[in-house]
Amino acid sequence: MSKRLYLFWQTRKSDLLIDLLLIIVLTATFFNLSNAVAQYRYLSFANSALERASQNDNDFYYTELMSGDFSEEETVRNLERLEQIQQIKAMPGVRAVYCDKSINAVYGSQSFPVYLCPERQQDLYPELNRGSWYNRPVNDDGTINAVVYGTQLWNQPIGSVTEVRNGENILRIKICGMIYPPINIPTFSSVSTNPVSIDLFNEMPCIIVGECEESLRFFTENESFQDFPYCRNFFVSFESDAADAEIQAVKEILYQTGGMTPMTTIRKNSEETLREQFRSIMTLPVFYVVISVAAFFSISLLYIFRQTYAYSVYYLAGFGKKRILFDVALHTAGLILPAAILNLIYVCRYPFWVMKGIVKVNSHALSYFDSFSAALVLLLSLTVLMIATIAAAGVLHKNSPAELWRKSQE
Amino acid sequence: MKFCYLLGERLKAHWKNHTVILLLYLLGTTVCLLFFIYYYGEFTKPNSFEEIYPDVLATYQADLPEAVYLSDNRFDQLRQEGRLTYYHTAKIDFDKSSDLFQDEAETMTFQARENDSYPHAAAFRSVDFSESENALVLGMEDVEFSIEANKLRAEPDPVITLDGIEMKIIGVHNYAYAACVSRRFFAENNIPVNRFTVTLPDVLSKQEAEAYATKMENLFPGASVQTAYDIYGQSHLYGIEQNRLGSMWDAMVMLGVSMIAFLFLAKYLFDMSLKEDAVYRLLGASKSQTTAIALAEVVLLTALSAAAAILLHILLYEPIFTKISRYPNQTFVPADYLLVASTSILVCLIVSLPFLFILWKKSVNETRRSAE
Repeated sequence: MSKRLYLFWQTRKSDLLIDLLLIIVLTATFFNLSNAVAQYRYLSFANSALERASQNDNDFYYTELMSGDFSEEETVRNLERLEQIQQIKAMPGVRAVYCDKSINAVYGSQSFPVYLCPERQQDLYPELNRGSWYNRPVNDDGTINAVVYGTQLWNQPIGSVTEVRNGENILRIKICGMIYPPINIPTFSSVSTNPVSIDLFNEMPCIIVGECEESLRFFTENESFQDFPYCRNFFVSFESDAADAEIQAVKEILYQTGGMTPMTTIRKNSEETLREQFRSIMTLPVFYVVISVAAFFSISLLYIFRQTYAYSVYYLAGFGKKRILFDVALHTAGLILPAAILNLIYVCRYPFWVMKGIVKVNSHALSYFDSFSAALVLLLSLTVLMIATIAAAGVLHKNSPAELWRKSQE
Repeated sequence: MKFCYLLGERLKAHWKNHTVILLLYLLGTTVCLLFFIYYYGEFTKPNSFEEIYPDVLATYQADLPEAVYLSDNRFDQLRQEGRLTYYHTAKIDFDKSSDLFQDEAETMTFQARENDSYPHAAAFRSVDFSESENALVLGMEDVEFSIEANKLRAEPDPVITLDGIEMKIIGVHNYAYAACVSRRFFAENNIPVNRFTVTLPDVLSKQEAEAYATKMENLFPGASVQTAYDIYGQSHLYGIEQNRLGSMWDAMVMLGVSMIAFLFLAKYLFDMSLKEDAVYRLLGASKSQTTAIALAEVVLLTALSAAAAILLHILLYEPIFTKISRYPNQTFVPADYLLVASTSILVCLIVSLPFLFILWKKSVNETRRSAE
């Protein structure tokens, strides 16, 4: 064993610098591709979530017609809007109304948006990293269940009871779950009359609380409720078997106050945007992967050609083809392994790096990593290993010991 | 002649003895160059108004000195050439209009298009002209600046009287351009055109655009016609040109970095020729002459790869590149390919300089020893 290791070391020590270079190239390539895929997945997350939640092509995003002038008393209008939403929710054929019911509240010493989230709307959120979603908004002890999201909130213990404050109003919450950043949260706050799915989501630290009488009171009694318009836009989701007349009845009401963008248009616009994003995000990383895999493949072959003399001596001394191939594969694996490990550490612990502030998040290029990202790194590593080993096997297979010797003498 | 003969012989020797390495080098650099052409097509070539906003650069705006009507047969000629949009600025009669206005704007501009071909959707109520014979669809800008949205929402049947014609506001469209009426309404009410635009199917060069503007001015004497080049100005177009140069530089750096990955193969081929170089040197060739053979080798191989990449790009443009491109309807002219090929050779020369320098620095004895 020690002789084999010695021979292996003797064969490889002269190329240590190139090996180091290859490790750097591979690490950068894997990093580049996994980041690009994560960026694309982040962008497509909103679309997938909306598609999951929408069961009828007649679903639409409603935006009330507004001018920039909020001169009138908004409290009345805000309450009218809330009432209208309740009315629509109760109409036959309507499955859910997703609306931006959020206010800023102080938690600890910082201000965070507090979103009211009915149970149905939980479908639109990413999977929780810790804890679980609530089945009912209020607990027996009167606290409101809450899920927290954001770098400032990640170390809150599950089950802890605390309070959020808006002026004199206080809401006692019990943290039941946690979402690690960065990921898109459904906010439905866009005022666009031609939105794409990602416009209906947002990335910001927030507290998501169950919707109940008390949280609604906390929402409607906040100070800004009389100055700013709330609930001007929302997403109406119909049952999959909703009748045309039922859908038309909802549209008749909303037609009087604003415009509706049907799900088919949102889907079409989103697909176009995602296609465009895919092309601009993925092109260069895919290029680097192709180039580095091709270069890796070439350099693996080059190694064999460079080591022909040493191999021919081993070969003639009884070192079988399989053992030479094993050595080549071992060497290749030795190059891939550090690249794979470094990338796995990066992708598997990404939220941790972000929350610790080690990785600075670029708000224009947010990434979403999960087990798929780790699988991608492993798959890529295995593919590169397989290609390099097959290439080596191909060269060795074609040459007898005598041919290898002759080639080494050329 | 002797130089070419030696170069040919060397390539033949590589082909015979190191086929795999030579093929891998050609294949690798071809892939690099193919991506370079793709990048050039995605980021450098289309980084202009022409590719990004073709409609804007193909639009010509004419302000007329006196009113002209849709029935004017001079429009017929322009209708053959492009898409026409007619504008009219009318006086608002507040007494005969619903109480909707937030300021004292006295006029409102509305437009009509051939075939009523608008890209917008409804931001409020409807944009369907069939709802009323005298339907008017307001623009988002009208709601932003002149109309109060709250009053409009509260009014079940809002009307506005423009130049004495009562129009029914059926809704608001979601685009940032003027209010719209149907072409039929514009024609039947004999509404005068104060301004119109023509959008041609293709973008013309600056000179051609100026000639087209002059033609429009001749057709409508006294009219002031502006091309997009006039509107956006030379400084804007100069900025776009600077962006193009920047992205070309990025593309060259990217190509250089990726080519380095394959220059190890070229280095191997150089090393395999050291014995031959030693013989040339012993026979009196200078080190510049032996280095020149290696240099010519790199240029020739890169030119071969560039030719292969261009050929592949032409062949695969329809089936592959149009599908993965953000600007699928580009036209690659020979000048583009010539630029790509010459840039590739230049970049390859630059990145192979260190290898060539090592070769050039070797003395006769070193060359002979290295070959052993």
